[in-house]
Amino acid sequence: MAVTCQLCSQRDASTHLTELAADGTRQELHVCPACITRLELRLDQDPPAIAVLLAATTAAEAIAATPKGRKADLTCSACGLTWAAYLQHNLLGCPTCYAAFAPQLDPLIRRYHSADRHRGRRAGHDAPAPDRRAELEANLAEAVRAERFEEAARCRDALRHLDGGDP
Amino acid sequence: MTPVADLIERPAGWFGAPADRGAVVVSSRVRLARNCVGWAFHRTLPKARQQELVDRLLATAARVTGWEAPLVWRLSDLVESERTLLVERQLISRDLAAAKRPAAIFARSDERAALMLNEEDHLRLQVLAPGLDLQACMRDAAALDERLGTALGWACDARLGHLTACHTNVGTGLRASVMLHLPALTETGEIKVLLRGLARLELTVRGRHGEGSEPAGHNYQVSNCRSLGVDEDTIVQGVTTAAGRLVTAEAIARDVLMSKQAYQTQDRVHRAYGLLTHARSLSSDELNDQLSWVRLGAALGLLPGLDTATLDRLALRCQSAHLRLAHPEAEDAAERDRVRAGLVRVGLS
Repeated sequence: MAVTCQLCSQRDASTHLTELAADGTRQELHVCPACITRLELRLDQDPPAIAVLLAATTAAEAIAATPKGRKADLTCSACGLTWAAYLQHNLLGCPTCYAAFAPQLDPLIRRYHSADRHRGRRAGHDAPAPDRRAELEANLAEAVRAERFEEAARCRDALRHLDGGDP
Repeated sequence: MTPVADLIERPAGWFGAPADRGAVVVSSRVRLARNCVGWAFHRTLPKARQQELVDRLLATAARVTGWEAPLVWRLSDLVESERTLLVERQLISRDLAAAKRPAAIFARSDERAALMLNEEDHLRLQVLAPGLDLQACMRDAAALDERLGTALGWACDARLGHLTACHTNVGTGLRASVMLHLPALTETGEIKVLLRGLARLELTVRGRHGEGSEPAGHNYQVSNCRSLGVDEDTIVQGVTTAAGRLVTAEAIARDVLMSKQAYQTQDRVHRAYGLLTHARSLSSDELNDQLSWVRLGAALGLLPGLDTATLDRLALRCQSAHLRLAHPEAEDAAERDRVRAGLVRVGLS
């Protein structure tokens, strides 16, 4: 029977880590391919401790916690996508990725479009959505609950912006 | 929820190209890629949140589009043949049809406008029209975009414009495309030179179903490559101008065929007509190839009583998923080929 990934609790796990502590206790962790990619885990070379993986709430934390001082890959702090993972599928994780990966992404954008600045419409941009506040408030609550504090701060700033204050 | 199979007997509103100028342009399409502010793209968004997003988009679409009796389907409720039928009717992309994530389609009842929800981007908005009319498509798409953007709030950047899951769509998020039937240019070989010219104009050519599909039945889809650094009107004008040139070139090539190779051209057209009106088994590929010549013959007036709009509807009706859903008793490909041949004989009689 398939075991569910313990990191995302959504997909079937394909990799099963077993860790034996010095006192003989045994701990297992089941991980799906998507989480392995998302967190840029090199399980054959330098797997992080299971406790670290389970405690890590963002990719940045997981990678920073990776032993042997492996340099953390460039990571979007909002969604956890790494630059290496982006390159695999050419799909970004969230709008913030554009800022997070700007040094790498901007040259690709310039090469593809022969331009680096938008010249068209910005639909609905000048009129704050009537239900935008509710959405931002919901996102803020969710971000706080999940302890995604940077995202929470962005939602808070956006709400202030809607009220006419400084973002 | 309207059963997908109910579409089979309906004429898609964007089909039935005007017969003027040889019905070279089959249809026009404008697509806008949009994402909601405050939400991650599907790649990193947990499934539960994707479901929440789709629910929210469906509710907003129902509220702001004002479409009467829209066609609404959640992809998870559809079997493979139903999804493929929606691809054949240009209502969803091949990628969305294959997706296992929460996704939905919200379309106008005449199928001339549709919203793909949780495709590569949160929302892909498309407007289609028969013949060459990208300006009207863009006008309708912009109005719809404005209403949806006001209600949902698009992810936008001051420098980069609309932010999309793939950097190739950033900026306007616009793809303007025109479907053309170019049998004479293909036959004379001139199409290769013209396609190289289009590449220099930063336009791209694909098959009927977009990225990754081969031109079948001499059908080519011409669209813009760049979405950043150029405004919507310029993109639409560029594709319209290129399509207009291809229409003119195709007309000249047809004149050449009818003046220098009249006998051979008439022979090809009538052979194709004879095959289609008498065959007892027709594969999809053979139908596409032969119907293209019959369509050319109808446009040139070689087959009195046949019009291109009827042929286009017949071609759609004979696509694989349309056949599978309309004739579930035809269980394998060989049986469907026999059913297809029967439909074509009736359609052309």
